[in-house]
Amino acid sequence: MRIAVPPWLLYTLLGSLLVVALYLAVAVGRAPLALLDTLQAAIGGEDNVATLVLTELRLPRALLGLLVGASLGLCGAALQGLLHNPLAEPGIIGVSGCAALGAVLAFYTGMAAAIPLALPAAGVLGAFIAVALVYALAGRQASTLAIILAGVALNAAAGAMTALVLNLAESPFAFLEIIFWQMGSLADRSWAHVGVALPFMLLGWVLILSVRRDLAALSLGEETAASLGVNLSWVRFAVIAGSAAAVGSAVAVSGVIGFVGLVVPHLLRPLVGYDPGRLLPASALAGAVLVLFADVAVRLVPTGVELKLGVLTALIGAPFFLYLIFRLRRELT
Amino acid sequence: MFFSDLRLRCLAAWLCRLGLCLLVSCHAAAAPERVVSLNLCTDELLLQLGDHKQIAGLSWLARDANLTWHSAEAMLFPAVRGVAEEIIRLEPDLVLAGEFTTPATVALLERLEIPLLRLPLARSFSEIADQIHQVADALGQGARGREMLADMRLRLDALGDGGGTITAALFQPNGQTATTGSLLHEVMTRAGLHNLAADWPQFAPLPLETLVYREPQLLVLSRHGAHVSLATELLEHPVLRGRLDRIEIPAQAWTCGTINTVRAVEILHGAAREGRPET
Repeated sequence: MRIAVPPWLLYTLLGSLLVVALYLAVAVGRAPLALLDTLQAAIGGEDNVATLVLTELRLPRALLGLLVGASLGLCGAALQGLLHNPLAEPGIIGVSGCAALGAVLAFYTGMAAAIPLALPAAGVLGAFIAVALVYALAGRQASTLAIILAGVALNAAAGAMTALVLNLAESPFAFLEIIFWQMGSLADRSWAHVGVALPFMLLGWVLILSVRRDLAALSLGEETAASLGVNLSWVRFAVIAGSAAAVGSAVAVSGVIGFVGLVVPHLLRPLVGYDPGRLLPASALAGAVLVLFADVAVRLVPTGVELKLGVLTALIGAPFFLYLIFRLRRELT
Repeated sequence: MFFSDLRLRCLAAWLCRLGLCLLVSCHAAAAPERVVSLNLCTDELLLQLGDHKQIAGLSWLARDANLTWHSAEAMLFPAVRGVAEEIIRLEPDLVLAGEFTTPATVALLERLEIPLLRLPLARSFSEIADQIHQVADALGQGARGREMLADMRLRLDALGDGGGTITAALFQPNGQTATTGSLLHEVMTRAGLHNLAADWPQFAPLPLETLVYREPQLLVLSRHGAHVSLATELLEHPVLRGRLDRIEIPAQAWTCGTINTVRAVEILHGAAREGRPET
């Protein structure tokens, strides 16, 4: 069943959704802003409360939402292509959890404040160890069961270690902040967070997108791909290192935002004609759209303490995950 | 027999409190000699009002220099974590506790009929005065208490009665602020500041956007120590840098409502007076 829509239509659709999402992400907030006037004032170099809220709070938050969402969508699609498994998602297989552990270690020991880029670098390292472990444990063509079990083990270990580090941290606030690291949030982020995460994210995107045609070839099987001239070990490395760089740095500045990399590729796969290569850029776009909309929604829910972003993505993602397991249960048993 | 002795002393204290104490000697006998405090704020009051030889134990929090200016002095006494056993071993003849301090332990102490004075968190200077009075009386240090109250009144009166002209907002880790009815609100008001977050729901964090949008002239910051956390990182957000005048109040001055809290009013009053406070 191929219901692929023409690429131009798909990208126009996703592009316009992204524009709407970005507009809302900048327009919605606690302070009432006349958006167009404020934007003009900000461009004109004016410095008042409204431009301050726009340029120092809303814009970095929106941009970070876009970058994090794109990274999660892209890496979900890439990992599913590499592991040839529909459930390979950074959150489910423990990559995000291990990235959070790395970031927590760097942040609460004061290393992140002392060494520039130590925070995202630690997140990337944690993520890299996790992807490499999953790949070693489950391998390509692994059963869904093996992937999920590897993920359960990694998530449990990373979660426990994160809790331990936060409980041992000297700050009296640290142990409550496990909610941020496990559920994710874009609240009160600044340009500094965008700045430290961006280089790693871009590196990750370039690595992954550079092998997107090879991933398409890989979907035909390793031997066929090799015979088509695909350098398997390079593809493997590019996806593993690329996902680690993008997811690790995203988690380091926004915590674990789950299920984005699961839901997005699944929704898009039919629309790109089941082509793993074309799936990548489309998933990046749609991931950005999903995270931005979710981040607008958490601002609209009237709670005293702002809802964590991961709560919303899990509310969308978990039922979806159950549905996928339901569909795959024959393979699982 | 420690236990019956304790009972006797309890009885004596109890009789005194009932107002049956007509003899001066009875009052002197009732002054407790082994006081244990289970709560940071009662620790401070005990250290300020009691004699060292009256103190048998303080809470472990009293040793944290980030929380109290009395930490060095607190090191001189055994630290308790609020476990009933360790407290009974100290053979207290008076236990000071907070309103919500270790309820199970407090219930046990009540059953053993160990005299107990429970103090809620002070939410105003008049409540602080009440507590100083209560603790001083319970310790048999009435004169010291009256002296402290007079000193507090004098220092507060010297600052005038506010008349808030400079707008300000308190921003603490996790965006906690000062709302009407809180001690910190009274501190700000007495310092001559107009608190822009007075109407904010109690205990709800103040969002950065709201804070910036209300345009306080003075941003009052306070944190417990320099340890890294997301909660304290919030105070360094670039949106708060540059435009706003900032003043940092040492957390030790107002974590507990005691005579030390006057210091917070004095610091803020100085900042409000200068117009451009230190950053």
